[in-house]
Amino acid sequence: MKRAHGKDAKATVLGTAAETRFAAPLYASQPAAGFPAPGDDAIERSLDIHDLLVRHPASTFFVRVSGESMEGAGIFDGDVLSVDRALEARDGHIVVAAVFGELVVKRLASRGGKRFLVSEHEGYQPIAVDGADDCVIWGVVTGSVRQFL
Amino acid sequence: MYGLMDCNNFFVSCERLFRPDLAKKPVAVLSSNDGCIVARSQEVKDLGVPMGIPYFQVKELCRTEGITLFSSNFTLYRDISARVMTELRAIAESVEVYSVDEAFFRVPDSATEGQLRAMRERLVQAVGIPVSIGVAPTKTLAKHAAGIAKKERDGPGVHILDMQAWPTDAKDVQASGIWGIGRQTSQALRAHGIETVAELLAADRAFIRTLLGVGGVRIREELSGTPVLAGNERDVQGSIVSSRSFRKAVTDLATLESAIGYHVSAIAEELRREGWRATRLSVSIRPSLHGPRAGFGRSRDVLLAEPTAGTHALLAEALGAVRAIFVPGTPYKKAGVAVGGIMPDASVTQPLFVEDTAARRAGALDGVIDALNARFGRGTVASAVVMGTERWAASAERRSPAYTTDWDALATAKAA
Repeated sequence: MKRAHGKDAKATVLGTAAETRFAAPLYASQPAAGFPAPGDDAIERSLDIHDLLVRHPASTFFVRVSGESMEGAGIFDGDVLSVDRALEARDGHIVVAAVFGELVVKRLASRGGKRFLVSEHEGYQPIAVDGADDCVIWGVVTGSVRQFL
Repeated sequence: MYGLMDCNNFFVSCERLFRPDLAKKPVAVLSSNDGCIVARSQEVKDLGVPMGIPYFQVKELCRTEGITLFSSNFTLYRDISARVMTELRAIAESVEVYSVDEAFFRVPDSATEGQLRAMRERLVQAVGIPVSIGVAPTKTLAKHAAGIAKKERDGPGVHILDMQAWPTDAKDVQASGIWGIGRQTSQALRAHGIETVAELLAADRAFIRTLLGVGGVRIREELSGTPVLAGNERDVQGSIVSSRSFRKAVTDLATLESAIGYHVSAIAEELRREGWRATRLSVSIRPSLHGPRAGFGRSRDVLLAEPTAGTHALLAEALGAVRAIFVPGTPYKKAGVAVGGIMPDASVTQPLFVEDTAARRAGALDGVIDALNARFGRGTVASAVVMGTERWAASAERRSPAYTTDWDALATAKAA
């Protein structure tokens, strides 16, 4: 057992976000026999789909979509959305909002100086964002994941 | 100056994050075995439900008042805690995580209340957990200031202690409410007519030393505005590591668990011998660095719910971590455990589970185990997992989904 006195605080990021990721290593050298050479330390980087969707790990959460009202925006029932709470919601952003105690996904739009949550499908009424407790923007949708199998 | 960031009703706030329907409704969280109330929303506090009360005593009240109850979901709390701390590190200097929901940080003397409010706003927005911030020249006073910030309903959530007014204000502050002054200490003080902080500050230093020892003198210094806790903690900051390579590659989880259990026991004994407690734990396992699976090494860091040196508390976390990072079929060559965020035992405040005697009993048990091992040799008594037997799990009926750590447990956003 060894004791390492001194400052190690910086090295430790806490919680599940800190789990070391090893996904699909991309080799810099072309392995001769079609297999990565054992001990090849020329691994340049690993591609991780997480990097595409998550700019701020501490403030990004994933939610699953239920319903069809955002199909016009390419968001379908069962899709997984990455939602960043640190971004400021602007006009045109797709957002997750807490409306009457439920998380909903809508597009934020301005009409006549007022902000509304609108659907991307026929037959859904816009919801006014009045800053009151029953309608609060929860986070900005930054990406969507759909699986086919 | 020091800042203390304290998450408001942390476990309850975590539960509410994905349940906007519970905003402003009474919500409480139960301890590991659904035994006691360990977190209360403001609404529950207002109903007069005390912290730590056994659930059966308030079961009827919970029903009639419509209190929503949750079993502890430490997986969720820890993930949210890590997010809060990561965000704090991005905007503050010298962050020292103190517990799952509190962290000290450096505040420049030039900082304005406006800047601190903006900082708080950013934290609250980014993770969605309300926090209070207290600022003062010492950690003890920062903690007191955070308490004031928290009590002001609909206030700014930030309180900078006014040191000019402090000698006067201290007359209205009960010594028993100060960080580091436990029940015994406040009883000892009361026996000598010291009830308020002002009275404690006015008391003779030598008298306090005789009555309460060095710890008491340190608290008095801190309360007078002279920082002493910072220096002492720096002495033990660091980490303890225990790791070992396997002679033959290990591919089964049970053997890995045994190894991790061994390392945890060794570290916990070391912590107790030194009178320390750890706030963070890290587990790592890896195959040979030169084999085809070289890239399959993994580690996981865990923020402990409470600072601890208890074998069982550390073991539960370490086993959870190793199970999460274990990949079947990988020939592991090395396993190790490290703990960090070490602080002296005496500086640990009242534990969260005040009335939970399980923790106290576990502490007594650890003492007995240490004594037996010292007398009859290392490993005479060990946890079942180290001896390679069955694993165990905690029960919890009302646990919320692992919203942030399980793809099958994500919150739903309605597109309807």
